[in-house]
Amino acid sequence: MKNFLSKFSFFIITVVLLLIFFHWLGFLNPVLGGFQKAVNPVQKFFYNVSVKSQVLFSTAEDPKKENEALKTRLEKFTVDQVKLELLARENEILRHELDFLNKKKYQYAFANIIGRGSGDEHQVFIIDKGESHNIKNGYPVIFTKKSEALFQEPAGFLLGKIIKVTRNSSQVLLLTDNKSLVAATISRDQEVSGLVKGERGLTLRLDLVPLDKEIKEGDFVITSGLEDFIPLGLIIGEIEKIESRTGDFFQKAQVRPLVSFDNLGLVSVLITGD
Amino acid sequence: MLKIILHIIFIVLAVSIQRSFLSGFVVLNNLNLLLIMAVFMATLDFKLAILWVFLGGVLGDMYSLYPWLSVTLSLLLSVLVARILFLNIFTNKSFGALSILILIGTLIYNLLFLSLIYCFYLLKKTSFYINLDFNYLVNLSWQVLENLIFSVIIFYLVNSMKQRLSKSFLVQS
Repeated sequence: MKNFLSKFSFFIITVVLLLIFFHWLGFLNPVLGGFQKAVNPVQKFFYNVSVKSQVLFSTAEDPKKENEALKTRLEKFTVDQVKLELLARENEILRHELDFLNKKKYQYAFANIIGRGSGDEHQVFIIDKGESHNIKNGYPVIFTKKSEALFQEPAGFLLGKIIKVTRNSSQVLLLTDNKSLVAATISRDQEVSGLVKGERGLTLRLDLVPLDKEIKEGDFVITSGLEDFIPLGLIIGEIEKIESRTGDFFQKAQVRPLVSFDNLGLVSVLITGD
Repeated sequence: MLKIILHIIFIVLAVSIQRSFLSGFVVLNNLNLLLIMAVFMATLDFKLAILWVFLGGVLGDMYSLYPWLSVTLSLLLSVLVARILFLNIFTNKSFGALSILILIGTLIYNLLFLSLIYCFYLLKKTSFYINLDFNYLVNLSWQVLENLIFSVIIFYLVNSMKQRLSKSFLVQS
């Protein structure tokens, strides 16, 4: 028994030390990259199933009505129809993305979301592009959508920043995460500077705005371009409520994100470095 | 060889389901499928449990926000403790014994994971750490509950398919 334990302990310690050593040297990167290439499509499949399940449950109001609606829907849907709808949506998204990105002349990489952080990491997305696609830490991740009510042309909405990169995948910290900080300004007056912080995965707060600058409800908050890799003009949200009080050193405001962070599938990573 | 390949497939599926499917649901995103399966395998076949720890841990670390080997080392200690307790104290393969092992495994996993993250944070290997606040305790409680519920499902599934499983799924240790 003692002999077995000592052999086993030796084996475990050796494996752990080898894993640390080879990872530090970078020898594991091609192997892990290969794993990721193989596993990413599986993750993408499960993530898409998860998103579709959530959409299904969120629209359910009355079980009987929902049952009837589901039966009718099931009869109407065929495999070809579902495939066509998916292709059409992806085509529309890609056209909007190309329209925005070509106008601004950014280099970019499209990426699929293949998972999310769990538990404490919940405000993190995992995407299927990494180092091998020239992505680095700090690059912004955007979503473009046509919002005729607000803008004249397809606009880039900042979703978050890349915080960890591996060979074939990256992790994106969403704006609404507690640890997220983005240098911001307002579109109406770019002299105004502040910092947008995420709050508990739900909302955003604009802080550190000097008292002598005017901010109003309805102002659009955009990136100020003061950070490395994040250009000026990416849309963060809209000021919903001014929260400053007498005696505060800086102005604060609650900011409503203009894009929903749920049910996202395809995003763009702006490659803004060298 | 076929049994090892089957286990590798199950490990990949477990990691993918945990990271990509369950993480999208607010309630289920605390379920630690990899931990439950590794602890469960520790009661059936220890060599396969080690495979689950290292392969599952490496895959978990690949898609984790935290530094390399945080998941693997936490899994390893949980499985080792579960195995020692299984061999010396909870020797009957009952549902109660498994539940206690899952509970202890979950607590040890989270304790070690938290300790490792703080060590890495202090050594400036990561700029992220876990806030020890009310939210963390709520998430931990949910994790314990969900792990226990899922272990019930696993336990009854395995018991009902025991003969078929032992021939085609388990390597004789």
